[in-house]
Amino acid sequence: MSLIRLQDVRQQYGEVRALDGVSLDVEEGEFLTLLGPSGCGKTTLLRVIAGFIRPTEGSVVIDGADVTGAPAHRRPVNMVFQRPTLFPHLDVAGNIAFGLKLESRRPSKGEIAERVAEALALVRLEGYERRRAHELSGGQMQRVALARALVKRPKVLLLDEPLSALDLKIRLGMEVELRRVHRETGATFVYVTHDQREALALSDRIAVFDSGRIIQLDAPDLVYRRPADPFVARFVGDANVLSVEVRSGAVALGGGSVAVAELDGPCWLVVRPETIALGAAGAGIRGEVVDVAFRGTGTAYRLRIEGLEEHLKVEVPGSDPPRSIGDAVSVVVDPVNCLLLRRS
Amino acid sequence: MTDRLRSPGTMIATLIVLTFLYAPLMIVVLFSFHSSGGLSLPFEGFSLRWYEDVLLKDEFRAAALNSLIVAVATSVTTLLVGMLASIGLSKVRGRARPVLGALFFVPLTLPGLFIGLSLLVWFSRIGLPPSLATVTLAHVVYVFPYFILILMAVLTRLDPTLEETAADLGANPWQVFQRVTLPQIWPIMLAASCLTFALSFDEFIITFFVIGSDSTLPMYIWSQLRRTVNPGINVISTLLLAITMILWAVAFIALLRSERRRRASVPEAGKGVIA
Repeated sequence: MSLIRLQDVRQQYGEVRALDGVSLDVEEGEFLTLLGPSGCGKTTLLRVIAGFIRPTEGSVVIDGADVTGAPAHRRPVNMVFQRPTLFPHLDVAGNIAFGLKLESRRPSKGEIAERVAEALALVRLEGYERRRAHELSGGQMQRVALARALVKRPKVLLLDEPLSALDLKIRLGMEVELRRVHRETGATFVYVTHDQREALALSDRIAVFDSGRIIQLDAPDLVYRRPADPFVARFVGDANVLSVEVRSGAVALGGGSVAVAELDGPCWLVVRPETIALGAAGAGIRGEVVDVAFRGTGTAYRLRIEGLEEHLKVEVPGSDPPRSIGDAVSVVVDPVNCLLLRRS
Repeated sequence: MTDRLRSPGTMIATLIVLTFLYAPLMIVVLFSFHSSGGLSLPFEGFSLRWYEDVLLKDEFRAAALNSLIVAVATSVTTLLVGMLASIGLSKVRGRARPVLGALFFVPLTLPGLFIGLSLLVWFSRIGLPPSLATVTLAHVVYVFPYFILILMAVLTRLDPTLEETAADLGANPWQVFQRVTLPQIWPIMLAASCLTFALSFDEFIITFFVIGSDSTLPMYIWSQLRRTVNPGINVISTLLLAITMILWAVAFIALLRSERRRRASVPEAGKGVIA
């Protein structure tokens, strides 16, 4: 039985449908990410699980108990918020002990101190007990917030874009920390983000959201390689999503063609920029360079292809010969790396 | 700015205004320490005799005690009712809030004469005899909007996520208030209570309408003035001034401290990147 079972959860704000029938099972111990653009309903769903919002319809079952109508303080879940919200009148130890002191079987003073120290060690802030919030950096504050949630040993830890307020370097370090903490605690993490890179790097499974619905629920590599629809393909990893016609097992493209077998008729052709290779101008698909961006590990080009409305995005390794705007190139698309989606 | 201040015209005007504002105060304070009974210059030497004279008077003591009772009762009542009202008001969302808020704030604009007269009529209509209790009720009506105004300014800026965080960590609504909201707002409540105390302590017009045979300090000063100009009045005024200034100072420091702490601990919303 899953740890969290959401069934047909709907949330209506006046005319706006924030959640449009979401059903989702979260397995014990997994790191599940709710990914989507802002306003897609992912944070609303997290708040439904936390107990801050009572859904208009549907049910929330956590660890076998129906908690749909239960307030936040009666749920075995804890949350880390987007901004590091430490209680200003308490020091770090006071913040972390806050939840422990509210437990029905209140632990002894010694036990509280022990568990606070343990939680601080888990987020690598040993010895920070007596610090105040204003003496901490944003990253440290967020780690205290993480310790404060984890010290309760929750069945589920909810994280609402916890890294989005941090700058990039600290964010990358915190990702490593989050993966380690997840491994060490064995807790179930439900993580909300709009950052597809973060989702791919952290998750066991990703639920991609759009307009209040889950569009795809899969492991990161499947979301990346086998996006369920053009939205997912564009949102995760910025793929080329080309509107094409498949005729007798091939797609005509810029004077050449790509052999594809599965489908026929109007389709979306999904190709990742890094799976496309460039050759000297000649036979096959012809393109013209219209934009060049150096990426460190390689170079990203935008190509104009005859018969295509949008530019084709290509990313080649640094070892490739450099090309400049206006150069004519030939484009090599391996059918193995292509995905066809039915277009209606 | 500095250049303009330096021009002689501006400087003279500034001096005149400041003198006009503060000279009368200084004179009252100064003459409360006058060794002779004279109320005009020249100043003939320092003495505490008028303080002794006033402090030993039974009428003064009774009036001071009454003022103290009324001010304490007023500020405590306002604290309890005002706290509940402003917390409730801060949770109201949407169009109802400005309307409700306005209803609470409007008494601020009413003339004291009007409040005094209407309460006098109201109290006699419901058969409440004038006493310190009616004075207290009247003072609560008078100071309530000030209290709400100060508290609301702070409550509406409290981070609601902190309360959600507490609830998420297992705090029921009462524990959230007691352990998170109250520790954040008590300095403000202290400040607001100092102000309501000070407002009540030297309130005259409304008191004049609703008081019975008792007397409060301002009433006592007024009754003394009607007879002769007694040097003791300078003493009472100075004492009133001192108490009021101390209360304002406490209020100001409390406000300043809470504001500094609030700024230091929670990153501002929408500030973007936090290093």
